Parts: sequence; structure tokens; C-alpha cells
Amino acid sequence: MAQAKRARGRGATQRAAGSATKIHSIAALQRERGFRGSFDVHGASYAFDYAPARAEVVEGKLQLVGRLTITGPNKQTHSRDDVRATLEATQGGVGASPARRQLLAAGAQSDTAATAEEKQQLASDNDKRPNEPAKTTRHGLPLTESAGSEAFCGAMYFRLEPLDSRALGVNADLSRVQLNARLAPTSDTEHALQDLFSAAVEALYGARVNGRLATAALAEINKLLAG
Amino acid sequence: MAKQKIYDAIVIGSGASGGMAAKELTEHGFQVLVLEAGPPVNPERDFTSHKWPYESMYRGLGPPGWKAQEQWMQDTAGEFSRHFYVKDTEHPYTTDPGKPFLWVRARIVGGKTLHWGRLSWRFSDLDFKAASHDGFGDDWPLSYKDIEPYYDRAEEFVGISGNRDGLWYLPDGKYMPPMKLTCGEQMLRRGSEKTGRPAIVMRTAQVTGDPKPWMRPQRHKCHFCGECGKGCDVGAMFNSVASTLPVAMRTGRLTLRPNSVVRHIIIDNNTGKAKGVAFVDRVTRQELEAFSKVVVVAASTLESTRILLNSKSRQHPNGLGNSSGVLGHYLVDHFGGIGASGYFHILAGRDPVNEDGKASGLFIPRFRNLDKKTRHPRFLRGYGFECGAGASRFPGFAKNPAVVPGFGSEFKKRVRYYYTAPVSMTTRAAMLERFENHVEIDPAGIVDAWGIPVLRIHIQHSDNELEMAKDAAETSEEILRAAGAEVVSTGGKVTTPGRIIHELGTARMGNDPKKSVLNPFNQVWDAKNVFVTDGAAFVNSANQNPTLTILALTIRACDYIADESKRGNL
Repeated sequence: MAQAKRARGRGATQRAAGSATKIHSIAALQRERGFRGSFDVHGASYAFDYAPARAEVVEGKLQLVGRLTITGPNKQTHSRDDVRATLEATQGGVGASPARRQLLAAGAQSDTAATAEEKQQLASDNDKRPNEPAKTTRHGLPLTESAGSEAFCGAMYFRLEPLDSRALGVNADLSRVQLNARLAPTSDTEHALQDLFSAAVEALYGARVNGRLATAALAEINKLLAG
Repeated sequence: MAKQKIYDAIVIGSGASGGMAAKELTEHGFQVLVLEAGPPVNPERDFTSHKWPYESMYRGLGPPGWKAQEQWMQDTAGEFSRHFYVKDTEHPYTTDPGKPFLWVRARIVGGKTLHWGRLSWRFSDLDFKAASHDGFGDDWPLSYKDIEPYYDRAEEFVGISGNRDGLWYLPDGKYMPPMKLTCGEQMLRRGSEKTGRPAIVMRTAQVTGDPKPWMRPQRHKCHFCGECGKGCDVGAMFNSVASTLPVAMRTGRLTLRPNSVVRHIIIDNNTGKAKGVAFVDRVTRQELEAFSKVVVVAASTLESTRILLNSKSRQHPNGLGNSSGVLGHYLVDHFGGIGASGYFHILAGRDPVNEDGKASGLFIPRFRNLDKKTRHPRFLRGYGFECGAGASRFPGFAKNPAVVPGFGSEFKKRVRYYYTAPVSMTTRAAMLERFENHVEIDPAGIVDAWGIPVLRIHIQHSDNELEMAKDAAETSEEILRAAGAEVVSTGGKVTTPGRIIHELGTARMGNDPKKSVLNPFNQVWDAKNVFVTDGAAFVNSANQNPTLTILALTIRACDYIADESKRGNL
């Protein structure tokens, strides 16, 4: 109320709003096979851990299914299995790109790189030494960093299925929560998953759907998630 | 029930344009509310230009991997300036696979002026009338003559260090003393001139002479510490916190409300005009509204367009100002990443003079497609080179074992030996304004932490940019060699769109309401009491840094608002 008065004192009026605090999104980092983050409700912090057990394609979208664990401010933990997270959109990564070696070995061709030679060349681009010529397109023009054949996924935006906040011990509305997952790999597993998620995104959400690449990526993702 | 306050104007954003709008409108006698999405800034706590690397165990570089994990998108952020930037997992945006965009955002009072690059160039009619010159796209609805007096006013107020160089395509202005070139930069200038390309001292928004009366007491003469990106704690560099906002505050007519994340502009159903702004308190998450006679949208190029797109109403079903269907389109950013670098071996081993701390360098202005003689057969528009010679703190070459092998005292001796020798050139180039490069409200329904729909950004370079980049790589090597440098690296990759942080367009001005969002005075065609004064208004990018033009356009728009208000036209 004091805050509302302060706000009005500055020339603003309060609009009517729903009673329960609505959690719109949770920022998380990729951690090994899952995603970890936290969110606040009225100053109380909740830890969030989503550990997908499998991946599938549902209506053309990548869907993860796994265990969600929320730890409240009093360290009490609540879990739920088989929580579905559907990938709605992504944000392209910028910087050193992961080399797409796994799927090339599996024989699944990506659409964006023209030839296997080009892919090999791009994969080793970060090892360029002084005086080495810069990598170029087939037409001899410079490349745009992290685009086209060098592109990869930097953040994944999942929609979590509606969650029962009471069962998870959270005093907030969790009926439509978005999981904002940053891919910032530090381990071999995380690197491999970023590579595979990038391939799946390209295959399923690119300008043209690439079924073969999607199948290959999904199989590899599931192998990794199975541990 | 208390009567709700109606401001004369609400300004959304407190960066370059928002700060200037606040200053201009309060000086015109308006009661102004500035809504800033980020927290307040406390210069004593938040500006760290005089913090030494040894004050952090990570020496200002941050713990390993922190940028990737936390501030992954903020390539310009250092450990000491990370608080100026937002995390994109809290402020998402989405892109198409294979077509990334790097959206660097500073949500804090002062916005990106707290850490901006400060280069301040005027546009000329080569830029404003680019379409007439080369046949591509549209001209701006104004000419250099229209905006010249506002450039004068902006430069006088801001304080720009520079020379009058007499180049018709890079008009001169009102300057404070220029910064001296380093020895290497002088050698490079001679090399550039040998190839027929003039090279000039960079023009930067820094106080290099005695502060003018309106600059006191916040602003002081630059002492060349060279740490501008961490927030200038003496106010030598132009930023809203030391410059425009204090002037506005002194009028007694400014209300500044930080932590105010705007949802949309509130439309009067009877008139179709704006009557206020709906926003959410960033911290308390309270939903609030404020009311005004005029709304100035200056939230930064893409945030402004996002607000307009999110401001749907019965009268504006596709977003405010979008009756033309042009809102969100013609997104551009400059590109860099292409250039050459090397060493002036003749300078190695010399004592440093002004290498460390000088917050300026050498600029080789555009030299392609100025006229028939300089027409390039493979691309339109042009590029310039930002150049520097000599090292500063953490010299890049020190990481190269081929130049400085070993460790310990021998390593330090080698670093000192080469300290004055490095030279580099990097491109700042125009990107063609194309309809297909655009933003929209994310169709998948992605929202930010406050539930506000986010942007999906669709952008990629065309062959025009890549051809320009190829030419820039070849030309930079030619200039370096002409200057007598050993060239060790040429080429590079064209920077991802957005990385140069010169995103422009998406709410362009024009003469035709069917083909533009704003009229020539930054006024929304569809709602005459709404103005967009930041980079969103640009018709093309030119290749010059945009902030000075944003400031000039803002001053001009505010004069117009004052005049039209007096006439009762808003």
C-alpha cells in the first residue's frame, strides 16, 4: 500500500490486477542434462531444477518430458515427474559456435552448410592463426559470424505445461510459465547437447523442415538424456 | 477521490533521446514524467572508471564463462560494468534459426549513454538523400539544411571534441579541442592519404576544453583515463545522468520514475490519440498507469517499436502507428568485424606518449560511392574505418605467443617493447534498409519476466554488405601496407547484426503516411500526440554513428511539439 501511495505520488495510478502473483518466466541455465534456475515470489526465492528424461517431436515441436523439482525458501523440496516442456521459440547464439561433428558422423546432412568440406572448414575456423586467410563463402565473400552454416542455438524458450502451484509448494500462479533456458556449455555433455539441440532447432524450426536431421538429432538427444 | 494528474508529456526512456527530450520539453515549460524501465543509477557506486583491475580477483575480466552464462549477449560488458546491461533470459527476444541478432540493452537511468562509444558524426545529404543518389530505397523526408541548426545545438550542449576537416560528406560542426593522434595513428594517416583517402581525428562526445556554463557542476574536462565504458565518473563523456537529466531536473518540472517497464500506450477510444501509458513496476510488479497530453517514445530503437506494436486498440488494431504496415520493418545495423591489423616495427621499443587512456583515434571516412569517380561496381553506399595505434591496458598482442613468448620478467619486457607498435583498422559500414529485415511480436507468444510480449527479429545481411566487406578487407590491407606496417591479419567475419549496437529503423519517418510511420517531425501519422524520437525513426543507417543525429532529431521534434501545443494542434 505504501508503494502504491508512492507510485500515485509520482503521478501514476494503480490498475486492478489479479490477486495471485503470476510467474511469467523462469530464467535457467543448462546444467548437464537439465536446466537450473530460480525465481522470486514476494522476495522469497525458489530454486528450480528441470531434468528431462526424454525428447520427442509433438506437432512439429520439440518436447522434453522430465522431472521438475522446486525447492522453497524453507528448503522444502517438491517434485513432479513427466512434466512436459514444449520448445516454442529460440534465440540464435553469437560467438564461438559448437562444431557439428556428431551428426555429420551420423550421416545426417544439415541444410545450411553446402558441403561436408565447408562444414569441416567452418568447424575448425576458431583455430585460425595469424596470417591465415579468413574463411569465406563459396562466392569468396566474407561470412557473417554465427549465421548460416555457423549458426547455433543460444537460448531456448520452452512453455511448461500448466503446473499445480500448491502441489509444488509455491504461493504463485504457475499456470502459464515459460522456461528461458540459456545454453552456455561448460562440460562435454553440455557441449554435446547444445550441438544436438541446435541441430534439432534447425531441422524443426528452420525455413524448411529436415526430417532426417530431426530424427538423427532426437535419437542422439535421447541417448544423452538416458545417460 | 483524488484527481489523477495529467502531465504535459510522458517520455519513455532516459537514454540519449529520452534525456534530451526531457531537457528540451521541461525548458519549453512542460511538466514531464520520464518513465525508465531500469533502476536508478548512483554514479558513486555504479561508475567504476577509476576502479583498478587488482581490486577484483578476476582483474575486471570476470570469472571464467560468466559472459556465456549470465551476460552472454553483452559482448561489450566487463566485470565492472555488467550492471548496466540486462540478462536476455529475463528480457528475451527470439530469432529465426540461422539468423541471429545480438540485442545489447541497458535498462538503467541513462541507458546506453552510460557506456556508449561517443563517436559523433553528422549525416550529410549523401545520407539523407541516399535514394536520389543511388536509386535504392527512400530519401529521408528532410535535408541536411533542415537539421543543421539542430546539430549545432546538440553539439554545443553535448561538447564534441574534434577538428573541422572540410569534407562535404561529413559536415563540420562546433567542436571542443581535438585529441592528439598517437605516433602510429599519424603514420597510418599518412598511409591513408598516400592511397588518396583522407583520415581525420575522431569526433567524440567528450569535454576536452573548459566546461561551458550549462555543463556545470556535473561535467569536467576529460583526464584521459580511457575507461569510458565503465561510466564516466567526472562527467567528461556525455551521458544523460551528467548532462541532460540534471538540466531538466533544475527546471523543477521533471519527474523521473525508474523501474517502470512500459506495457503499452493507452489510447483514447474517442479520439484515437494517446492519453497515457500503462506500465508495471519492475520491482513490486504493480500495474500502474500515468496520463499525459503528449507521449514521447524514446525507449531505444527496438524497444520503442515493441511498445508501439504492443499498443493495439480498436483504432490501431495492428499496433499504434501501423496503418501503413511499415512498423517493424527496415531494420538495419552497421557492421564491423572486417579490417586489418599489424605492427609498426619502427615504433617498437619507444617510450609511450599518449597511447594509454586517449579515448579517441583515427577515422578514415567513407570514400566509396561519393560520386561517379568513386562509384564501386559491386555495392551501394559505403563504409569508414575506425583505427587505432598503440596499446592500452591488457594489450591484445600479449596473448599471442608468436609476438610475446615466455613468461615472467622477459614476458613483461616484450609486452613493453611492443606496447607502442600495434595498429588496427576496423570497418563501420552501412547496411541496406530492406523491408524483409523486420521485427514483429513473437508469434509463439513468448513474454518477458513481466508478461509483456517480446520481439521476434528477422534479419540477415545481403550480398551488398558482404561485397562491401570484401572490399573493406582488401582496402584496409592496402592502407596498412602504404603506411609501412607489417600486416599480420586481414579480413575477418562480418559482425552479427546488432553487435555494433547501432540498430536503427523499424518506425521510419517519411513524407507519405502510406509508406512510413512518422512524419518529418517524428510525429506518428496515426496519433498526432505520439512522437518517436530515437533510432527507430531512421530511414537508413548511413555509415556514421547515429547518436548525434538522434539528439538533433529529438531537439527538432521537441521544438515542434512545443509549437504545435501552443497552437492547440496536439
